[in-house]
Amino acid sequence: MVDVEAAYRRYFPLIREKCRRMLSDLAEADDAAQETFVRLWRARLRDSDPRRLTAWIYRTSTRIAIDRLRKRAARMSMDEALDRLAFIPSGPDEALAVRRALELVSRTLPATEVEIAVLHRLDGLTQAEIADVAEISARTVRRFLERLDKRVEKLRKENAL
Amino acid sequence: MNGHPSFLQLDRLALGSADPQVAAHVGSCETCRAQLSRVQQAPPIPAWVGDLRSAKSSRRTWWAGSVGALAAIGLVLMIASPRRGPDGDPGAKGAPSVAVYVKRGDVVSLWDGRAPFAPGDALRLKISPQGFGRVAVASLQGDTITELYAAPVTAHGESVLPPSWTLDGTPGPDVLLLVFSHAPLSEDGLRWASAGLPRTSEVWATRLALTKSGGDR
Repeated sequence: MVDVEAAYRRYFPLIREKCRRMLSDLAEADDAAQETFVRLWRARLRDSDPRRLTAWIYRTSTRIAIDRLRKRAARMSMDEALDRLAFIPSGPDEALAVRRALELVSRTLPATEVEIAVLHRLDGLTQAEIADVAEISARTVRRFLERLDKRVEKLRKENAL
Repeated sequence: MNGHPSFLQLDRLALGSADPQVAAHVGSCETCRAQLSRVQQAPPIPAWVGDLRSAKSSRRTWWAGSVGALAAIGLVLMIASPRRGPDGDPGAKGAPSVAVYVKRGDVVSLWDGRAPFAPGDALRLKISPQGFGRVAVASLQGDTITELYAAPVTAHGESVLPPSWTLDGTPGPDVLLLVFSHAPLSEDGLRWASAGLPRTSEVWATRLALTKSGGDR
């Protein structure tokens, strides 16, 4: 049985990195990482198979981050947010822009679509990997991503009016 | 991804489970090695981690990880049978149900819905989704909802969920939430299901309050 300190040393760094990819505020990202680790410990999953465990970590930390994103006030215009969501970031500055965009659209889009957007746009997961983490079919992932693009486009048009 | 493995693949490599191709890529890619190094760097232990250890014996989190398979064989008592199907669909096809199997020592039995559990009892759930494609299991502790298991399930027929859980010695009833749905549920979705216990064609939820005899064995 893994003790809590060994579990922290093993899992917390990757949980923290995952949360920092999602949340622009480092302190908030660390809080989200702490919440994820506490849940991991309490759910007694630390001895689980790494594939199952990482899927759980990605799923749980993404949901925690989305909850936090939704509670935040928007810090950018809708126009800017929609522009930022249209591509996958290739560097830290672009990732920051996508995080901020997600803060905004997380209030408008269904949670599942935001979750898939985070896994795709910020974590760079393939559709098959998203299907593994979110426990849905690859076909559903593809449908969600297509729908996300349509929603972003629709929001962009509405916001342009 | 410009040929780089995803963060998920790198994290799995960090935990010792990865595709050999990923390992080979990391061996020749400085960027990925740097990322791997970041997630393998052991951080200092903060005070709240120690609090988790000290809270272990008193907290009400009683669901443990997998403790091995139970031989879930026997009559199925549908403990959580629905009374209604407001939108017609579940009611018309028959609504979801769940049976709880208990392993105490070497003996496996079906919970009768009333008998108190004992610390150390290992539980496993057998479900009949009745058309729903997913199930989520969560423990409820005050305002805290902890997702224990969520996965697609065979929509028709019965299946035994893979994990089993062991009850700890904290006194008082513990509450388990089961939610059947067609799409994955977020934490907000679980919270909503817990509050309203919807029984529609889209989402069907029930709670199981498991009373324990209390004390250590």
